[in-house]
Amino acid sequence: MSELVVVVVEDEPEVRAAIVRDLEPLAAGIRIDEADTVADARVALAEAAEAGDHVGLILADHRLPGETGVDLLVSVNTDPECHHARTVLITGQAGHQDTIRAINEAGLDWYLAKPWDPDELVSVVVRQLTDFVIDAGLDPLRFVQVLDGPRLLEQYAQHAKPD
Amino acid sequence: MSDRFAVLVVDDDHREATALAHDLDGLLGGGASVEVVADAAGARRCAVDAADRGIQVPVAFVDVDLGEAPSTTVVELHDIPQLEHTRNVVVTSKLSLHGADQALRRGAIHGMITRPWTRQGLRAQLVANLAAFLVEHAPDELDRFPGLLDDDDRRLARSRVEQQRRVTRRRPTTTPPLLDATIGDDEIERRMVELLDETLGHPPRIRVAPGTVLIEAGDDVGGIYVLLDGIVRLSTRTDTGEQILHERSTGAIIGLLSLASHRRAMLQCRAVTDVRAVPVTLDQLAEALDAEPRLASLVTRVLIRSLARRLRRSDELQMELDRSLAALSEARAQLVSSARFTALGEMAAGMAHELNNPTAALGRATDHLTDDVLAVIGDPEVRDRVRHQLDAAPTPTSERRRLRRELADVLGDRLLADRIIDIGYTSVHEARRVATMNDEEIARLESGARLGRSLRTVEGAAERIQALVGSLRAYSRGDDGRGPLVDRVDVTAGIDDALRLLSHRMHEVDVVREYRPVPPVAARPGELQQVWTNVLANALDAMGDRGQLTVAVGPTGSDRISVRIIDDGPGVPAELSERIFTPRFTTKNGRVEFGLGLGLSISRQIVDDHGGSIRLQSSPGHTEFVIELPTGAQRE
Repeated sequence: MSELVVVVVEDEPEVRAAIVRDLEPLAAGIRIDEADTVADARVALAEAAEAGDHVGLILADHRLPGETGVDLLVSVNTDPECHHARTVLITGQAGHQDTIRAINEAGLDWYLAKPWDPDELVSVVVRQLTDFVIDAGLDPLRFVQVLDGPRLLEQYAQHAKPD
Repeated sequence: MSDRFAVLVVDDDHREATALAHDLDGLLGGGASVEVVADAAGARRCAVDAADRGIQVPVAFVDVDLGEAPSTTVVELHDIPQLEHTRNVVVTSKLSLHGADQALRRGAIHGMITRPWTRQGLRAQLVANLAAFLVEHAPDELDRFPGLLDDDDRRLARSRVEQQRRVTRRRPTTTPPLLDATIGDDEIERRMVELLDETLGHPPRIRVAPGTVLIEAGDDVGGIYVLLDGIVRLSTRTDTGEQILHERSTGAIIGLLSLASHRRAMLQCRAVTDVRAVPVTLDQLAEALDAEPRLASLVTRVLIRSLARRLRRSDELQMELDRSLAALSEARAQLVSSARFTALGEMAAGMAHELNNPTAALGRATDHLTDDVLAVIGDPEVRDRVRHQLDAAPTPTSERRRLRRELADVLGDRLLADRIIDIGYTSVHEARRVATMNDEEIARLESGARLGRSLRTVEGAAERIQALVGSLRAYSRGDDGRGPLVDRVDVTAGIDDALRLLSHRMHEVDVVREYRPVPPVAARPGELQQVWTNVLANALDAMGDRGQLTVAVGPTGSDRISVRIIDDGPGVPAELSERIFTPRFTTKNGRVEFGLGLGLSISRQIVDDHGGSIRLQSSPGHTEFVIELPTGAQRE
């Protein structure tokens, strides 16, 4: 069965591990893929697409070796394979120009500043993934336990109504 | 078409000529025709033709933006016999009479309008010149232009012509001294003394010693002094002290300007050397002026000359003032910048100092925590997982995803595969074993692995903070540029410190270190740190924080070491490569953006103070700062 995937792009292993750990409450229903560079993130996206999985959210640091997180988000935004994916920038160092570009060209959905608040991180990811599930027309019932249950049930109820 | 008068338009731009002709036609109301020609040759043909038919040309409108000498066309026109009395109005778009002097001297220009002309301006010129021509050369035809010339215009024109006729020209037999540029000022003043002597019967000379005040500022001046020998100084007292306006020597006439300002002396006049002068009272001066008219012209010239001199001096002072003000505000900006820089440095040093203890505590506590955690864990496999995570290198993200797919395939459970990888097992064999455990046992192993990872993270973070604090502390070694040199300063270690402090900007920078062993130098370490940081930060600015940065350290000559910092940024143009070391040089508005603009000048000063040198070699893609420092061997 295809999975709902969050891709975390962060080059420092400790920081990446901390993000993944903070997202653990979602692990029961969501797969978390890690990538340490933009190039590796692209591989992860391709792997997910090949396996028929849905990348619902890309959570990227801005400062990365080689291409930046904003570069990745901009390219994702124009990629027909995964342009529905929600984009969140999590960074302590994006300048004004980078942020403007992320919003204008990557259709950035959310901006998280480092150090992040774990509760906020989870609630942002839940909200964005719930949006994704609804927009992409995935079966809402599958994610009632881990994402925003009431919203998903409402969505289900609306669509389950006999015409 | 009129059979008496034609107005000429001389312009090689046909469109414009037509527009002008149209406007003139409207104004003339049929009293005169308008003829358009391209140049003076055309005007000549037209004028000859007109004269044959008894037609006079009262006014010509001449375009003078042709060619380089604006007056040429007008003079050519003026030289055509049939157009001798024609009044020429020049039409120009340059707001300058430059180059028209020849025509003006010849009396060939009678009016001027600028493009774009207004109907009103055109009308005024046409009326004035037409009326003047008619009054003089065709007075019976004045009624021909009823809409254009009214009674007032005619009266005015008539009175002007009358005035011109009344004047009988006479050539002056001599040039008055006021207008004679060939006579020098000394000569003027000599003649003045002569005339004064003649009219006043050689008034007595006085001699005064240096320091004598001839005129005090504010005094009611009763006369003038004519200086025969010596130097006097004219000065004024201001809030900031005595301001010397000028010194004047032999020949000067002092006090003339005061006569023009209610006889109050504006300046103090004091003898600098032995001075011989002729005092002339106001009464004497009046007497002399009355008896000898030539004296007035001389006095006028002397007066104008001293006014001009004082005006020039005033202009100079104004410029000096502007320059000083600009320099002042520049200096102020620099002061603010460097104060901010100093404050930042002090703050960083203070922070480094304060952070030192907690960081050391953090590092030690992590070690102790690790020992104690391992001691209290009873389960050997959990303990093993803690140790494993403490030492294991982090798994690359792509490898982790591959491993998860592999284990998930074997176990048929992706979630379980994730947990096993987190525990730190990678083999199918171990994965199968874990899969047989109950959830509680697996959770315990997971906790152990996380404990190990967290300890490693804390340890790593503490080490990083410690290294940063250590680097910052290099700035706080209490040197302020005057302290004694510290022996045995390790340049290479200092550069590494600076690189570490800037590491947040070097994620995309490939740093190449080419270090050859060098002896320690005698230096003020904090200052040297500033140099490394400034030059490195400058390189990073120029590179836009990406590219290759090479740092090469090595001995040079027998008693010096060199540090070369090379970036592959766009480079510094040769003409700027020296200015870059002067305070506040930045190319911010150009391609490259530099920092405070003080860094490199401070660096140069520090390196100079250390008896070293700093220089720049730059071409696009290769900018090299070379810093040389003397080793201890050379000192003493």
